[in-house]
Amino acid sequence: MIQIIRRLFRSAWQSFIRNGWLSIATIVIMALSIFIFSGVLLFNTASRLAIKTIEDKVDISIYFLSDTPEEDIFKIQEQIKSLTYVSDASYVSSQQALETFTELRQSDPLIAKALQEIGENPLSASLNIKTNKVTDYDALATYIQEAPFKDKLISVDFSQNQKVISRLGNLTRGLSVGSLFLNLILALVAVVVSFNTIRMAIYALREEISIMKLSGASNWFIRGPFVINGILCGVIAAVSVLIILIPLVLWLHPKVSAFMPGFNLNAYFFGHIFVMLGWQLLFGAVLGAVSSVLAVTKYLKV
Amino acid sequence: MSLIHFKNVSKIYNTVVGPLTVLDNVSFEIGAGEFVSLVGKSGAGKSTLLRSLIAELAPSKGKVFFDEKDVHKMKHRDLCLLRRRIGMIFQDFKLLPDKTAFENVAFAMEVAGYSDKKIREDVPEVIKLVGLSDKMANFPVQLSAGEKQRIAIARALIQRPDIIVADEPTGNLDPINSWDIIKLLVKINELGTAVILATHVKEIINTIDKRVISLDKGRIIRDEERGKYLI
Repeated sequence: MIQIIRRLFRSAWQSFIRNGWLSIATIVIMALSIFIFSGVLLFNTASRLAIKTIEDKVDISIYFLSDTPEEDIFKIQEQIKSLTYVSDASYVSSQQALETFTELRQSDPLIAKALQEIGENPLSASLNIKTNKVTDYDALATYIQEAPFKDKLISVDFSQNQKVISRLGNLTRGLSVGSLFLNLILALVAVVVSFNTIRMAIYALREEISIMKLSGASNWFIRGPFVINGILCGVIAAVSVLIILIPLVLWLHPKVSAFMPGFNLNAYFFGHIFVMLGWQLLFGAVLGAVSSVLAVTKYLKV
Repeated sequence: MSLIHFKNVSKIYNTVVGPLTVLDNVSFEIGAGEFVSLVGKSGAGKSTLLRSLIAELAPSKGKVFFDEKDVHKMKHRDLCLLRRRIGMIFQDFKLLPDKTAFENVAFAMEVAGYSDKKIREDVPEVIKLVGLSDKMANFPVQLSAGEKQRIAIARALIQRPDIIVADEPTGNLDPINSWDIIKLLVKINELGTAVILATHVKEIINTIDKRVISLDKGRIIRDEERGKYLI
């Protein structure tokens, strides 16, 4: 068995080296496919992180009447937190709100003077509520409008954010569907192009396959070197793509950061470099192996 | 007991102009160690007959037996073993272009699972037998037509087959190389291996003076011991 495996590898390596141009052409096409695959992965992550960054900035704040006891607000906070689609409901007391307001506007003497003249804290206690998904804000708004504690509220700022939240929801849904569709199309193109390249390479060797058959070689003895060759091309293509991606990411990083401040391309890429290499190797190797098996099988019917 | 037995074998192709009969109810037997020439014009059915023997082509009717086993009912594994017992030689040599002369011959032993040591011992011996010891490291593209055919013969011989099947082996060779190849086949036969030689070269058949099966339009029209080319 070891002898057979050694022969399959030796034969695959010989064929890879001696059909050098064919091997290089196959690697280039597979590298392009893997590049597309990697690009799709990076785009997905970038768009997901960008949406997440924007989503994290969205919340609904409810402001309470000044005579609402803090214990009541805590009860309401617990009720809201118990909703399945709510991820957080943080309490901001009127004192905290004032401190924050003063700190933010300390450079404006007019505001400081106005506050001094009022003499008391004009700001209300509030709850800042975040949902798990941006699409859940509609449900939350409805809940608040129908809640028994609605008469304790001065205002809900959802209506101001409603358009943004609604558009963000649509954008999120659109991007998810769009990127899934784009991914499928690009992945399909990559697979079809690579498969056809390997098929063409094996087509060029079909005469050899029939000679092997007539020499009494079993199907797996013939198929083996082609499959190993396909995997080898896929692996070399995957590593080549990663080598190309490193300087590309370094070059793109400042541009992406300027466009999406919340997304650190460098940190993401180098933090996931081995995972990405793993996916690329898997994609290249499986593509090479499956394409070779399918392409060779056609010529084994001798 | 015959080594090969063709029993009422017919091969009919369905073409756009109707059925085309390439082999028509062909029956004959070949014993172990025999030398048989298969003669006929181009299109007489010689190659179809030989391809039926190695199960490259299934007959429309009839049966082909090798060592009393129906070759067209064999399982894949048995078919591989059968092909290792039949050494094939083709007009266009059919060498593996990305393998050296040594590797081409060794390939036939590798598929049969021989050890590397045995391959290193036997391959140079057989290549020496066909007179190409100095060309073992050459690729097919670096060999002349006659040399390629000698390597093809070495490949066919290496597994010590029961029979060598040569389909127009001199078709691409000049007269001198053709005679060298025929002499080699006769020598192999004298050492005990059966040979089927398909050819349409009259001089070769008339000189070697062995059994001749003559085909015309897919039918056997003559089967004679010590026959002549009479088509």
